[in-house]
Amino acid sequence: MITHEQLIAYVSGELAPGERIRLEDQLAADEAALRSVLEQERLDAALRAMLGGAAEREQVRQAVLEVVTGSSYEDVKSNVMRVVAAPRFPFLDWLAGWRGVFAGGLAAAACAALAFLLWPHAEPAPIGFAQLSDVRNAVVIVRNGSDLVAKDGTALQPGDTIRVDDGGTTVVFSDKTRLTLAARTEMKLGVGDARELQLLAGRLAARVAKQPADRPLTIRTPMATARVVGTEFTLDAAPRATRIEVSEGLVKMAHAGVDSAVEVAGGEFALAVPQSELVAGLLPAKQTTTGDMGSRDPVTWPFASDSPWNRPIGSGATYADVQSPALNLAGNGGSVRPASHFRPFFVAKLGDRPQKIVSRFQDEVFATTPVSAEALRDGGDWVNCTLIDPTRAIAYELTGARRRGDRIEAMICAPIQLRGPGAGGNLFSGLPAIAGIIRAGELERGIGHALSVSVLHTALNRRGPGGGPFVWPARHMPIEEKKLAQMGSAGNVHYGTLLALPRDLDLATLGVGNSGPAFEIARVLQSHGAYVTHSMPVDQATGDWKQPHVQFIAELPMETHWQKLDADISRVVCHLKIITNNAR
Amino acid sequence: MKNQAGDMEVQQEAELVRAVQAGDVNAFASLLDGHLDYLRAFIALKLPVAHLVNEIAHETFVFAYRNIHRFTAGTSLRAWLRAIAANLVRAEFQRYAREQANQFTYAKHRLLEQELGRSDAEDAAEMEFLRDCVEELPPPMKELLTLKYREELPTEKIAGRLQRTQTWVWQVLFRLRQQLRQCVEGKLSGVKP
Repeated sequence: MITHEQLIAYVSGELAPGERIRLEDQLAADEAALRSVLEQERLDAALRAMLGGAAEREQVRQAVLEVVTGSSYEDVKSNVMRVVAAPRFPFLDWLAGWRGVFAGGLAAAACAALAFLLWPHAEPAPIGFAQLSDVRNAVVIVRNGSDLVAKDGTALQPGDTIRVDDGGTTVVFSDKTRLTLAARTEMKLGVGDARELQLLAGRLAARVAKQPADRPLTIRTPMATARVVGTEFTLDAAPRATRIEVSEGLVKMAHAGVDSAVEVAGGEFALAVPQSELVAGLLPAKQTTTGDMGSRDPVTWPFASDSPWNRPIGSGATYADVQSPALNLAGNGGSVRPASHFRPFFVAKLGDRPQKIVSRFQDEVFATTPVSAEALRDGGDWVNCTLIDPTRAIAYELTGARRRGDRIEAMICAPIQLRGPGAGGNLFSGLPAIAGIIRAGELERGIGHALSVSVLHTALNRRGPGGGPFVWPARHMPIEEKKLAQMGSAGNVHYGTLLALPRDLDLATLGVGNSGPAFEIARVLQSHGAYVTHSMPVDQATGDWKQPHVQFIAELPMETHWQKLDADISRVVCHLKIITNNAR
Repeated sequence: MKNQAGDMEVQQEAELVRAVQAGDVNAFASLLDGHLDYLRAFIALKLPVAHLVNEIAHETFVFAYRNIHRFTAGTSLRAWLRAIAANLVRAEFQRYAREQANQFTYAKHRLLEQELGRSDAEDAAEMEFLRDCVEELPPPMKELLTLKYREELPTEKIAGRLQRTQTWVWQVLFRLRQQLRQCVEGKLSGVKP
């Protein structure tokens, strides 16, 4: 049953993306409620068209007249300038109002001088009109309902649809932006604003010239909207998914009709699929390096010896107090989370059958590798897990995965080189999920690597030195604006921050004894520290229970006395500092 | 129903149409100015998707210009433009119908498609009635519509300006649109065949 309040929240755009999708599912089956939403949308759009949108109206008017009159590019440019510059430079209106006072020539000269100053420097040139280049095989332009055969040099008009049945073509805009369309692609040029394109189906590769920051190139697909300021990327609009892969620069992408976007930077991707928040992560590195492993088994103790995960804290390291308004290590303490609750591992044997790991939404094979028969139930729930190949060289970190017949379907697959540097995963920190886990037996044998630690989400400072919530070895990752907004804006805790116990702290004074799990964790926090790799949402539960503000992950037997371990860990974590310079 | 200031006298419009048919592009600009607002609002009522409203308005006028020789001067240009726009909206629905993967979008467009079955008289009157209904609103409600649609202020600023909460703004706008719908339907009941 859909409530009146839900409908108001939906129409006002106040529902979170997940709730919005759930409600739309309900609306599809509830005609009365859907009709009510529709009436609201119709009235909203009609009132907008009737009462406002003067700039939009002017753009449509100009676009019609440009087609009708066949204006020259210079005319169009001056029109675009008028539309673009007028709202931002009221001085022009003021000047126009004084035409009678100033001599006509003087005013005209002033306008011309102002136009000269504003046009080339105020913002980059507009996209303007476009033409086709490199036309191969069957390419058609659909204009006003008629099909025109495309040739090299064919000029395009606003509102044209370019349909590539076979072969391909490149659309070259006057600002040198190039969009290369693959076979079976259909793209429609904008009408009111040439920067508004629609990729109706298929795939395009783009090299976009620098756009005005406040008027980016916008490409809409049935699933998503990408806003581009200037970059290189590919955009793939499959029927049930839109995927962007960015080579250089920055693209903002959002689900169709959703305000909260993610910034996708070079080397990253984002995927918009039905009934899910945007999925984003790192593209697999083109080249991977492997380093010295000694005699270690990369599955139980991964990454090269010179990886940040395996380097002890340097003797010249400097320590600073933890500064984060939301982090209360003394009051809320820490805890240890069982690894089985986090992301189970499945190591394949040499005899296991190779299986394809495929995308849930697109016709794409991520990898083909032997998969342990124990991994994932056929047709079971979608889970996160890690599949390790029999050579123990690569861990495939899967997000939203399940087995379906003879293949594994996943939303994201991040291959991690277990003999590599320990970078390039799909946690929000861009670090691998397999890194920094306390593995079975390590608490008895001794831990020789840095730990991974999760902190309270609100404790992170989203304004790090690089502009985002990241410091090395974490790296920029596409994170939805809503999640960024939930972080704090002060302090020295970011993804990638190295937390450690001071070297002069006497561990015997912590009150956790001289051996045992908590003591061993304290020892490694003093020798190697713990990198912040992920974050925990604030738990709204009330009562006596206090949410731990930091959390480690460990493979421990289920009979572990977790409550005592958490109490001991809380005695340890209140002494944590931040390593500001890990000098040797 | 009021005759809007932007509406042209039939005879004057017929002269403009003849001028366009004779190749006078400037005359078409006058026709465009006379009908653009009406047509955008008409399309918005049929297919409330902002970027499609502008695209279909553009395509309608370009089609009209290219086929102006088929139009009989002296008959209703607005009705002809409405018919072209309705056909383009229908074509857009068919495109959506081919993409049935999104059940919500599909269900929504099926309902919208039903709206295309209205009589021409109802279509012609709906926009004018909406304008009349807005005029009949009490001043505080008109002010809210002005802030929302003419000044295009975000809800937060509207709430600040009116010294109300954002929730109040959302609720009142929702009720106001319902009220306008009922007002338009009431007036339309007199037009229905």
